[in-house]
Amino acid sequence: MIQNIDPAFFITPIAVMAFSFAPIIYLNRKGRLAIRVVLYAFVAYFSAIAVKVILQDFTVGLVRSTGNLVALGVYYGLQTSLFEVGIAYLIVRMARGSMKSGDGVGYGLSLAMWENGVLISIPLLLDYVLYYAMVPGSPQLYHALLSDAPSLFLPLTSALPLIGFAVIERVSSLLLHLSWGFLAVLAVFTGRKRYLGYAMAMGFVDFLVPFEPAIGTAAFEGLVFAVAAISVAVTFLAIHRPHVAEGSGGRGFNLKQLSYETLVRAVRYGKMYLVISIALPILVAAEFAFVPTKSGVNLLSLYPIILPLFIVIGSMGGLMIFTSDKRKGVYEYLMAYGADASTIFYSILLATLGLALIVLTASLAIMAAVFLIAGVSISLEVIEELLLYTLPLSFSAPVFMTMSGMIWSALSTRVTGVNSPVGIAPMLGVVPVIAVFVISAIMGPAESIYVAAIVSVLIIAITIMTGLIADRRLVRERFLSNE
Amino acid sequence: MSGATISVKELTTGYFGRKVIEGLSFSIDEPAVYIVLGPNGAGKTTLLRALAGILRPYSGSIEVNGRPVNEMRGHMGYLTHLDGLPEGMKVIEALDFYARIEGASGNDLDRVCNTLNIGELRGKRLSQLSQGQRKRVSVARIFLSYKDIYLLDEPTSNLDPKVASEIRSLVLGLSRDRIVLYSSHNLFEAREIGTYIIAIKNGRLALYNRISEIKTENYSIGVRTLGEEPPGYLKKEGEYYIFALAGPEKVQGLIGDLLSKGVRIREIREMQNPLEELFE
Repeated sequence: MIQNIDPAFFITPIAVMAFSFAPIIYLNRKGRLAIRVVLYAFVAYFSAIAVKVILQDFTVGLVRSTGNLVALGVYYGLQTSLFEVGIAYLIVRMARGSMKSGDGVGYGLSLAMWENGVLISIPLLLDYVLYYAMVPGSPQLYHALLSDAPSLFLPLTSALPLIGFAVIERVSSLLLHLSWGFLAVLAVFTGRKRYLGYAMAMGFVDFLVPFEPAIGTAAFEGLVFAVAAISVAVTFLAIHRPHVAEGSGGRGFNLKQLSYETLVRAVRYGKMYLVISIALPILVAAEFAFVPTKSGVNLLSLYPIILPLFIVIGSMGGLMIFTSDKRKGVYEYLMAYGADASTIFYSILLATLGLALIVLTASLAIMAAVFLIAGVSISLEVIEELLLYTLPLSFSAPVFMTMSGMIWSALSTRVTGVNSPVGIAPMLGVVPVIAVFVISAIMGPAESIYVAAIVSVLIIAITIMTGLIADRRLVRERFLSNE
Repeated sequence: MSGATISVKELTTGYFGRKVIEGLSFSIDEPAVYIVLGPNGAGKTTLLRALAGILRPYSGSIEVNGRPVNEMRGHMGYLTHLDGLPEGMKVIEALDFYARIEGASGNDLDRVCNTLNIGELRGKRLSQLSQGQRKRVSVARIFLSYKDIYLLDEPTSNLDPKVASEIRSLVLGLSRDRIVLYSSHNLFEAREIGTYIIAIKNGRLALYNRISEIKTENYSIGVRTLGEEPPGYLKKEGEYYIFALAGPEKVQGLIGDLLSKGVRIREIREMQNPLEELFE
């Protein structure tokens, strides 16, 4: 009997095309991305791909024949670094007269669109549509696909993690292209070569490609995503280097200092939330460890899954400081002394990350102590849960919550009580965690860890993208009090 | 003398593209208190925010000491119409927070605490302070380091007469060799401490002149007390005892006279302000 491919496979190209084209269309409609910049990215990207294809056509066999994975990794990494990043930089240099320094985000997103939305997704979607239409009537095609791409015929529950990993890979690609495209523009317009150096180091991500079969898809995609997230962070830090406030008569302040001040205040101001968020894990861990279940199963392995809920609660202090400082005119004063809106925005996010780290550290210490007292060994499954789910979601969910609350607070007039951003934001923060519970329950326990990992990565990606958009949209007036 | 100057040329600015101030021009090159006067919504706060570099000009320019304003922020002290005090702190922590931004030392902190009589408040939480105490702490920030120019947005609003008077005295002390722009809608304040008036109406300059050259006829104030009937009042309107005075400069004398006669003053307000005709 001939089995057709599952239409769920269409998700990958459609989702990737959506998040590749949508920001380009949005920026263009808002007048912040000229078509010529998209075309410069086209020239840069496809020139680099052409050079890589030609070079690899002649040389890849030689490198592969050595059987040395490190050499092969260097081979791929150098090519992406030199050609994709290098040519992206050269094109900006040549087009500098018709570009502006603010084109970095648009240029980076355009590079990503040409790779993910066009070069990869359009042919992939066409392939899947053709397979779906032709396989039922063509046993020959069915057997060929069964031999060359057996994963296309996996049951849905097994196929979904693969689809998720494919989407995550493209998210990573988007973040990397965005980072090095942005830095290439920055390098040209500031004349600082170190930005080009950062970008070329990011291009070396393809060093990991030959290692995928050895380490497995999940670990590979996790590593690539980690590199992409670090790249975005490096780009962010590169453009927000600590500096004394412009024109300040005193020592001024910078992002690092303001973040630290905010963290200290957030700990004090939100101490009740901190206490609750650390006390609850103690109760829950004790309950899981010492109250027997009917089935006799020890529930401690569930502990890492619910940790992000507590961390969201414990991280409320950052958002509370934001809403209070905005209302009381503290930000007005800081801006008068040279702080820009972006520095204030990111100082709150960094303080939130600090709070999350405090609660996470305390919760993990409690977990280790309870495991020890209960005599339960920490299984590989628990470690996997911690690494793939608890750690990423413990930072992304609070940041997502704080950012949503800040955007809401900045865009609205004063609202107090439970309808205020501080009242609603925790509910937004727990949405990703609840989503993981629900999807995992539907998918079954075998796939739940992959679902958790995919949701974590998507939340991180959404958070980063929202942050970049909010950074531009939250103009100075948004930080002034309405009173 | 600091020798500071401010030059505002054809300034247009506002919020989210909506113009609040349009085509405003004036220049200042003499140390004095400049009262930025205008009815609510005239653009006083917007002007001070633009001068402080918080709002950017849509068109026109602002220069301080001949340089763009964003390069001269360290030369200006700015006091918002809100208290701008970070919650969750003690008074000393809040002042220390601002001292670090200002580059002020521990000695500066002590000096400011003595000047504003807030030494006894140092260990208190901001949430425990009265409105007047919060204002004093708020005002203390701008004295942490010396500036050429001070931008003060309604520093005495909602304060009792005694604290308001103390703050006005401090401002007067500042203005001997510095430029102070002081926004208010109170002519009594203007006459007490101001040398010049910059009057704004609907976002445009209505008047820029020496206060001494502005006529102040038919000036009257209302005094609300804690129960006593003050001597010498003209009539009573609601809770206010109305006094007719020759001008705002006579208000301080009247307050002293009433206090010496045991009258406990709750509030003083202008009932008839000759400057209002500027805005009609």
